[in-house]
Amino acid sequence: MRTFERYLYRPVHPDEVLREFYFTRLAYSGHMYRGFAGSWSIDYPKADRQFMVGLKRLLDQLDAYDYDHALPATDPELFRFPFLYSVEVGYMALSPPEREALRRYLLAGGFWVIDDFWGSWEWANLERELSLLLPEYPIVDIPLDHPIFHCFYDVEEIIQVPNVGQGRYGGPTWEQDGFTPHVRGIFDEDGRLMVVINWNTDLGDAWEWAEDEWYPVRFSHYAYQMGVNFVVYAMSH
Amino acid sequence: MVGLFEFLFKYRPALFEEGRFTFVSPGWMQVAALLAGALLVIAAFTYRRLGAGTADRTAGADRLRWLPPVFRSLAIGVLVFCLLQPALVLSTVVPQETFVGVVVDDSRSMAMPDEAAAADGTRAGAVLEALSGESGSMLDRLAERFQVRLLAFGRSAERIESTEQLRFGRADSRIGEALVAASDELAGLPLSGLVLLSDGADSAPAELGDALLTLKAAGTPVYTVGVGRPRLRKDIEVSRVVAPRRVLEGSTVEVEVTLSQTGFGGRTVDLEVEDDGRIVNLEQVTFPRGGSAVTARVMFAANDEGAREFRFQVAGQPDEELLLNNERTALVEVLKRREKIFFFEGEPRDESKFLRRAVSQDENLHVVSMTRQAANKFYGMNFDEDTRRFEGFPTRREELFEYSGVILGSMEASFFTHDQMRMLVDFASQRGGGVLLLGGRRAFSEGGFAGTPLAELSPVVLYDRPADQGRPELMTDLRIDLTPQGRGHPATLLRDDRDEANELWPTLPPLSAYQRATELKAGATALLQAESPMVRDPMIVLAHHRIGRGRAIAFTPHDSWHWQMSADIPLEDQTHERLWRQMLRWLVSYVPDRIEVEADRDRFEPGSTVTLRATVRDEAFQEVNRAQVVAAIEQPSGEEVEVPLDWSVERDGEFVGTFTARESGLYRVEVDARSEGELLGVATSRFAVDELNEELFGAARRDSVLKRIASETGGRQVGLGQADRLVEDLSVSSEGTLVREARDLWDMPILFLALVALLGGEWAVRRRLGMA
Repeated sequence: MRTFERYLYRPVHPDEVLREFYFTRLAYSGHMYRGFAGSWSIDYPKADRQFMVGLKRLLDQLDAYDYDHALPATDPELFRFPFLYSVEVGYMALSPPEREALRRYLLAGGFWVIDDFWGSWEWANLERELSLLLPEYPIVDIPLDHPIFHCFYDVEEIIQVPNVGQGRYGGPTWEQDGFTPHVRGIFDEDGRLMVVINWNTDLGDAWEWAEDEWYPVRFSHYAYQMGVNFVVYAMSH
Repeated sequence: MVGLFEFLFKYRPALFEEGRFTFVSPGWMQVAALLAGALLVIAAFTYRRLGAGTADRTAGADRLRWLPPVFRSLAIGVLVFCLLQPALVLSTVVPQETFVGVVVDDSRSMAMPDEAAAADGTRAGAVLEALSGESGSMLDRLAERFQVRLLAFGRSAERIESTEQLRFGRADSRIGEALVAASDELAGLPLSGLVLLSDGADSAPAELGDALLTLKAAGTPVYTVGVGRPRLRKDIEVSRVVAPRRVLEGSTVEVEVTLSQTGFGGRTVDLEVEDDGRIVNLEQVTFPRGGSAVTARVMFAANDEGAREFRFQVAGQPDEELLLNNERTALVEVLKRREKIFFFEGEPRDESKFLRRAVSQDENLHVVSMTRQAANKFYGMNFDEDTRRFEGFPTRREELFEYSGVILGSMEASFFTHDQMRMLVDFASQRGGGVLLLGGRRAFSEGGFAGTPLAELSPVVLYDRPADQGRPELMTDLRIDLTPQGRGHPATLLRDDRDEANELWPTLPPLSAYQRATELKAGATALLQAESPMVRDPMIVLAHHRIGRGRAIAFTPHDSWHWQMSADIPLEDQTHERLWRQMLRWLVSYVPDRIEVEADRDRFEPGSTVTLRATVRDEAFQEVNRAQVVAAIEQPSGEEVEVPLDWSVERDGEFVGTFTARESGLYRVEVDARSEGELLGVATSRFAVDELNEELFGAARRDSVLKRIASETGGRQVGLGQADRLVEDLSVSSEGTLVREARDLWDMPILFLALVALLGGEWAVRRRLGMA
């Protein structure tokens, strides 16, 4: 990971009032860079801030931090924020210390939402990373009757949310060979969902461009429903 | 003291109490008065004349001048008193016309070797020697004046023909019942009284007072003869064990064990706790040097379901006099059932998530939660087919009262209606449930609890915080530690080893809290406190107090989940899980059920009458008096007996019935309560029947018991070798066939001594004044 990336991290300022919820983005190591920063920072920070605006309106009892908040896995402070969000994990390449820290984080009670990666090649990369991270836990499809689809909004079907370009201009909703969206997960031995994987879909773009008049509302509507459900589930299970 | 009185006044005070004072020659009264008057006039005249001529005219001599005539007058008075022949009139029994019952304690404790006077050193030996030994036996002395009936007692008194029938091996000694039985046995005979020979070790479960009232009403005085030493030289005894009757499986059981000792001050002994032959705890107890008793708080895990007999014992010491009182047993029913707890949370937060997760694997706890996500939008979890569904907070008592505990999270008081707040207080005070108040930005004072019924629940003092003050300040970096009361408390015992648990607390990651709780309410107890650079006084972290029949607990931090999820806490660490499992088990411990049944004790002697007491309440926990309640008792042999229980009238919802337990072993009681044919509920309980050897506890001679029996029945306490005194006391008893007898008092030594002192005094003063 490049050293200058640290300027993108946004830990909580000591003068900030401590909140109950932080939408924390995982700043992971990888092999794809966009400008100065790695793939973890795609859509950052706008998507995060935009999501918090909607989240605080919909979950008006949630004492949430208003801003973006990114931390690397190796930061011990990460354990203070049990909700984690990642994108573009097709390019993720965790270092051994990152892997160890993230494994401890998840087994101790952390919850990780993975989003915005497409096709079989990127899946294979994530699968390989997860097999190194949590080798004893399989990745499974989360059935639609699982509480994560019903804890706040009732989500009855999984929709493929396209990136902003394809969403605005009405192109195909898929990328690469990721034609079918999936919501998969990793459960611990007690049945607690530790990792939620949104594959072949881009919820982050839908949050980020929700206010764009050209972006279809059904995608942002669905993305917010899923996002709110993820937070409610994470804060209650 | 009595001996001195008897020397001076010729007779014991008891005879003066029984008798009536009189003068045998009252006719001499006038003559004596004239004579005394004449002598006094002569004395006064003589002293007046002699005084005028004395050489010593100082002021001191003037002050002494009046003494000789006074001494002379008093001496004359004593002589006149003697001339009138004073006497004590006593009602004494006619020889061989009245009866005396000699009731001998035939129990095992009489085999105690603490009577040096006996040849074999035992209490029994001393009794036998006193009753029928060669040198002036008590039975022979009594037989000179009375018809004597000999009785032996254990649980009850029975007639015996001779002391050879005494075995001193009975397991029980119920003094009150035995005395009443003896009185009944001799009813109809002219009875002068009963003589009780005993060590005073009364093992009867009932209060002695009822028996004493019966004896008093029958006019039967009991003369008690104490046997044994009033204090053993060297003994350790497990005096008392206070254990819960029921606990949840896997809970930490807290038991108070009181150990008494004589002669072992300063010694450290091992107190063992055994469950079915397996040692589950070993506690070292050091006896104080000055005092005699020490109470140890013993904790151990109850992991096996069912009725468990936990044995608490101290190994016998090499020079200990009595070993049979070194152990006691407590019956604890370990229940495998799910206690329902309702968790009401005002906002989504990690504290509630991790708390629920910590107890999710506990099979004995079922936490149903309702979390407010948005205004009037709640997320309910863990409702099942046995749980009533509702949205938000219950509005009916039946909905709330089906839970044993309630956890109130970060929810402002203004959310609740007044009735809901009242209902939550009633949940603790009337239903007997446990309420746990968690810290949070909308809890306690910060949630506007002050001035509402919710304030009653808080064990910490609340302050009035105006709603417009905005977000409360968060106090961070709270380093938590135990208070003295928190050390060894089952809720704070985070490790099996108590010392390790005590040392653990300060090493845990610091927490934060919105509550500035620094003052406890009267009657509340703090178990945990914290220091923070942000507050001057120690912050109260965990405190509790009783609310009517229930309990309320406050836990003020809002982020204990950091003890589960911290870079410094190893993954396998169970501190957080254990804290909340113990806390919630403590919350619901001793919470009553709607239908309950208990025997009056957990252990009985064979043949005892067991009183079963059931409490019947409806779904709203209102007591029900019109119910049909039947107890099915399964005896150790497997045979079942049905006992109907009737409303006690004394208390609402209380039903009582009795049963005689003859078989030894474990009994199971199942109570079925119905109202108008409809089943209200079922409750179960257990009790054990066994030889308890109760009289071996407190085995030293109990003078207090013996003295009480004697004084309340009009008898007296006498020593083992005081047969003459006993006969005399019985002879002047007001019971039986009586005759009057006057005993002279003119020859009392005190009169002679008074005369000598008065005349001597007069002479000495006269010498001083130069009149001799």
